[in-house]
Amino acid sequence: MRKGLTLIELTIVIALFSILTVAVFWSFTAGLRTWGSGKNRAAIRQDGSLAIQKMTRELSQAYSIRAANEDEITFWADAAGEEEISFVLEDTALLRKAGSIETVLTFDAQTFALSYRDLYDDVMTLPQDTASQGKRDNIRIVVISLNLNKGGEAITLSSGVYTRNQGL
Amino acid sequence: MKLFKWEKGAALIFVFIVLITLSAIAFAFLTMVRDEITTSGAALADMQAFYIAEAGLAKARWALTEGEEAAGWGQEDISFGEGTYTLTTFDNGDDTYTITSDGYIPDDNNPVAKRRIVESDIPVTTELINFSSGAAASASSEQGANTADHANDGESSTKWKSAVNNGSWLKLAFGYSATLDRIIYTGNKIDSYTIECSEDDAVYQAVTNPVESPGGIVDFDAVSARYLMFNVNGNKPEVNELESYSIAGGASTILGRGEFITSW
Repeated sequence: MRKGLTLIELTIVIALFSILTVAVFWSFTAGLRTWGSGKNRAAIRQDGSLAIQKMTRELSQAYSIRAANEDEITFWADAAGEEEISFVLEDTALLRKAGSIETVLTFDAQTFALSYRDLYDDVMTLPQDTASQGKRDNIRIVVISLNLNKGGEAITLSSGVYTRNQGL
Repeated sequence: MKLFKWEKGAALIFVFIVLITLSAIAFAFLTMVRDEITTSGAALADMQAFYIAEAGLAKARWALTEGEEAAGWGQEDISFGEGTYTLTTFDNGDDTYTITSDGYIPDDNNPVAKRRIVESDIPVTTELINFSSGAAASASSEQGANTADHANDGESSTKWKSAVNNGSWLKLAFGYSATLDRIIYTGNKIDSYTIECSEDDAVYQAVTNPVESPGGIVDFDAVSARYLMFNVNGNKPEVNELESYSIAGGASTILGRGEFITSW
């Protein structure tokens, strides 16, 4: 018996190691991919939850709605108008503006759509139904629809707010 | 004693065993991660359902107040966003209401997520709304600590006092357009007054046909106003409270805050 490896033995070992490497690499990338999408999901969940919660809370305290468009709303959080707050989508960043202070609620907003219902719960036609302050005073329910997308993970969150203080 | 007898080809079997074990571990790991993803997907749907249920709650609050629906009113399978909501309202019989709102993704027939929000024991009152409370008050002049905001703080013991005699004014900015047909003022040293209203804080018009009754109650023709101006003459006149109402609008249902219960 000669010492050392035959060509056949060597080939088998190389083939086995190739299979092993491919299997390990495959499971590793698959794991990495799922890890990434899990992370994105958690991120949009957290951002989306925070953004829509902040918007619904603050809008329910609105005293007077100063601008009401499809992708932007500006309102006074107090009667005097000293605290004016806006929610607006710029590119994919959903911003909350209060005076000169800008806060980013989320960087991953794909769409931010607002619609308005009047005192009879009828949907208002934009922009003519919210063109003047007198018309905006008729807004009672603000419907928010926010779509977030990060790395292929997407979610649409919708909620409605009854602006209790508006036009008492 | 030797466990293995290293014969020819034993290495091949050994490598196979290691390979299978590693594959099993990798597979188990993948399954775990996939479960985690499914769970977080369910959490997303759950969150959607929660905010849809909140929308139902907002709708119910509108219906019971401005919508003038009676308790017991409800709605089923209202399509909203990615799902639907169903809501019920209930009169507890002790001047409290309970609102229950269920949010479903994608609908209540085959929901992947359901969230329920119950706002229970909401105190209900019907009263005339005093528009003055919450309005921003300002005045032509103020004497010391008797600032303008004391005239609409709901406290009759505090007052606004003018620093000058005639030509003083007290202004209330509502922040919205209110329909007014009555004010009630309490004060001192007011020799005469006029009431003016404005929509833009620039053009003020005196209210028409004002009639004063005892108790400082002044009724006039209904006017819509974002600003109310109370012009007073007297020896450093004082106003304890300046209330404003819409009598023709009738009493409004006011819902307080109930207890929130959320459930899955």
